[in-house]
Amino acid sequence: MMKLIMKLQSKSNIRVLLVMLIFLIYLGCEKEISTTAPDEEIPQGFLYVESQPLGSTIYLNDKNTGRITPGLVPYLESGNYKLSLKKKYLRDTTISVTLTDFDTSKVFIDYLQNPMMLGKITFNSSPANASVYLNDSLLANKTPFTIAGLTPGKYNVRFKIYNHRDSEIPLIVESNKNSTAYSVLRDTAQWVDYQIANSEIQSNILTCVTVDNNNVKWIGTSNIGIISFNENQFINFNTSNSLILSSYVNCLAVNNDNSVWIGTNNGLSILINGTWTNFTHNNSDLPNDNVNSIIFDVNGNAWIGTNNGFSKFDGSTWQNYNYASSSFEYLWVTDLALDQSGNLWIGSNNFGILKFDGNYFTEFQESAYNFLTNRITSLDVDNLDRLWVGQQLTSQSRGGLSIYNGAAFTNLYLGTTNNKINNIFISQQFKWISTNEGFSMYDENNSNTFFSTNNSYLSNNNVTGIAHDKNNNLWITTLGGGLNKYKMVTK
Amino acid sequence: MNKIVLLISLILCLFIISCEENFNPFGDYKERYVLTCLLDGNSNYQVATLSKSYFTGTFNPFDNTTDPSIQDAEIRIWLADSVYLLIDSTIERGDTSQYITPFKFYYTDKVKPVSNKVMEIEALLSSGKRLTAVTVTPSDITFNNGNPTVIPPVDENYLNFSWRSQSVYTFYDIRFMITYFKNENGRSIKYKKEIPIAYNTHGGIEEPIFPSSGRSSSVSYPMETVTKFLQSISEGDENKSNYSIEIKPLIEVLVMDESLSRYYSSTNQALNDLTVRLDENDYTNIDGGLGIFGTYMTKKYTSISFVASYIQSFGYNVIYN
Repeated sequence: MMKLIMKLQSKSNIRVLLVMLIFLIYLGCEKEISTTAPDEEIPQGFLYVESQPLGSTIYLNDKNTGRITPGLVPYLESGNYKLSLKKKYLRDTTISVTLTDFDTSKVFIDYLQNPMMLGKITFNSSPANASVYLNDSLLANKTPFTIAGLTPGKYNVRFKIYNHRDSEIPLIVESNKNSTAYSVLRDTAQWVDYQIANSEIQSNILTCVTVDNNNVKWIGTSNIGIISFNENQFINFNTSNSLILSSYVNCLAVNNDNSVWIGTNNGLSILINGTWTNFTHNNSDLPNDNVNSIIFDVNGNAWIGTNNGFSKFDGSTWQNYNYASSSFEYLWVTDLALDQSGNLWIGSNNFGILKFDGNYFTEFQESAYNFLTNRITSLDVDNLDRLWVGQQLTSQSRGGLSIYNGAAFTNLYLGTTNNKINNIFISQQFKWISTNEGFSMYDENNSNTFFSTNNSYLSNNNVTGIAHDKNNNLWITTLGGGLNKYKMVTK
Repeated sequence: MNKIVLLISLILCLFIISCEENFNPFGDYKERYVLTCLLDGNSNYQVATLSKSYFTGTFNPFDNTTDPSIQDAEIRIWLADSVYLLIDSTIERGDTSQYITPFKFYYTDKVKPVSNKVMEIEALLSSGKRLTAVTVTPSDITFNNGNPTVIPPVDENYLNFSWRSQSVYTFYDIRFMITYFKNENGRSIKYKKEIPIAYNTHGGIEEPIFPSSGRSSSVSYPMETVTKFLQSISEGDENKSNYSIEIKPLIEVLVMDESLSRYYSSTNQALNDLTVRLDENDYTNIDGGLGIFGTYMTKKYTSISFVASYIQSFGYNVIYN
């Protein structure tokens, strides 16, 4: 080092040496140590994608971005991307886009401009010539026909033909495909069924029906009390929204004042102009809370059959009747009927039929009178003053129908397996017999026509009650199949 | 000449002094982001948390009282071609000693991982910062115990359980559980407890030892330990009939995927093939930040039954569940 200095003779050389040393100091202190990795720069490319229709999933380079149109895919590296849009029922669309930093690229894809993206529907119905509503818009043509150029997606198709029930079906239209909308429309020219699935009725488990003076149908149920139906609206009166005594209704009757009398398994409820009056064995002389039958005599008295005898009720006073024999201690009344002489006929579940003339009872036992069983389900008197008797099947014998003309019983079977008679309803010259296998109609000549699900549009074979309205329609309740309307005169 | 020597000496001194610097123990602070998401293969409900590093200026991290959670990010999870956006939410803290604001997290109730699938997570912060991770869900396991396992086993002093899986780099966490009921003041209280694999004595006190997580696909419980555990549940209580044991205990094997296994391995400092040796104990598989993204699944083996007389030998009742 000293030798080197000795060689430097001039001042200028010393200056150069000083500058070099200072430079060395600067460089010698420099460090290139970092404890953390440098931050990567955040990419600044943005892609905004719109489509018609909206809601397409945005894919970039075949990866789902998790974003749908219209949507912004932010912070992308600059460069070329494969942009794909995917939407259910539509074909995929793919284009190439180039992104640059600090810029938002905008892409708009109109699926509907591409005819390959659109779909068709062929409409057909049985019977043909139905009007078609597509998403509530009436189309100009009648079935069968095809329309094209439809935006893929979900549609609702409704077919409509006079005297047929409307049919509504969902349909999916896909790109470049022909979808078929086909429906069989139910003929309602003679039969109309009202079930939970196809109407506003609140129950399908119906036990009885009657028609009031205003032609309103009153329907008993086994689960939600009663339902009124004015052919426009079903109104349910149940234990939650009314004072009805029970959800289970056994029988219904309408008095001359248009009050509705409801026999339940928990007493008698009466509905008069929206006001409820209830009778049970706790608050009245009603002999038993299981009310099975209600009829009215010419004086306006109500005769009420229960599981333990029957009563005459004039609106204020109860007069109770019962009957016992060596075999039975009480009378289980299933149905009541009045003949033209004013005699009360009492059907029982335990010992056949009784006739009550106001003072005395006359027994009619199966063994003595040769009808079918002593388990009577229903009674009614026809215009010839004959007593029609429906009987329950027993372990020993079939049920069936018997007619008493004042002298002898004639037994009839309805041609069904069980012959379990649920109800007899007589209106003018027709007798309507409800069974658990359908129902029968007897005309004035005792000619029988049997209706079931096999030969009619009856919704369920377990028929529990029948009533006739002022428009000559028959109303049929079923246990499980809701309500049926049978138009006796087809309009 | 003397002047020159003096000048050079001064410069050399300057050279030495100029390189001196004060020591800074904190280093350069740089904000980092932490994404944590452990997917449960037995549930649709998945949770992720996102937070950032903080600098307190002291050596005590608890000096920070500002919640470092980040709530305005978008977190997505990919499973095959499906993408699930996580919803941000909050929950009140049980411990408010450091942070008083509600705990922030992201969740979805729509993702249930299935075996051997690639899953991906992305957290996109409002600044554009992106944290991503990929994992592969673990393979399903099949227990090798063909016949129902009876306790105590015939002619053996150990209860052996083993299973097999297609995954190689998998950690397992094993629990041997029993359920019993104790009659306490007329009420039957349910207990579910884990049976230890051994007992260790420290200072005259016996401590239960439970199986540690690891790659082994089998576990052996000495019958002596099982018996000791069953005795211990009624220790000090002379009325043994107060206890009713369900006859069917349960083996639960928690299967971790490779990401979670590596994390578990590194944080436990184990020296094996899965160990990631780092100067700092901060293993991460999150690109762009720190944290862990992994999946785990729990498989239950229920074909086990106590012999009723064995339970009754302790004076306990048997519940045939």
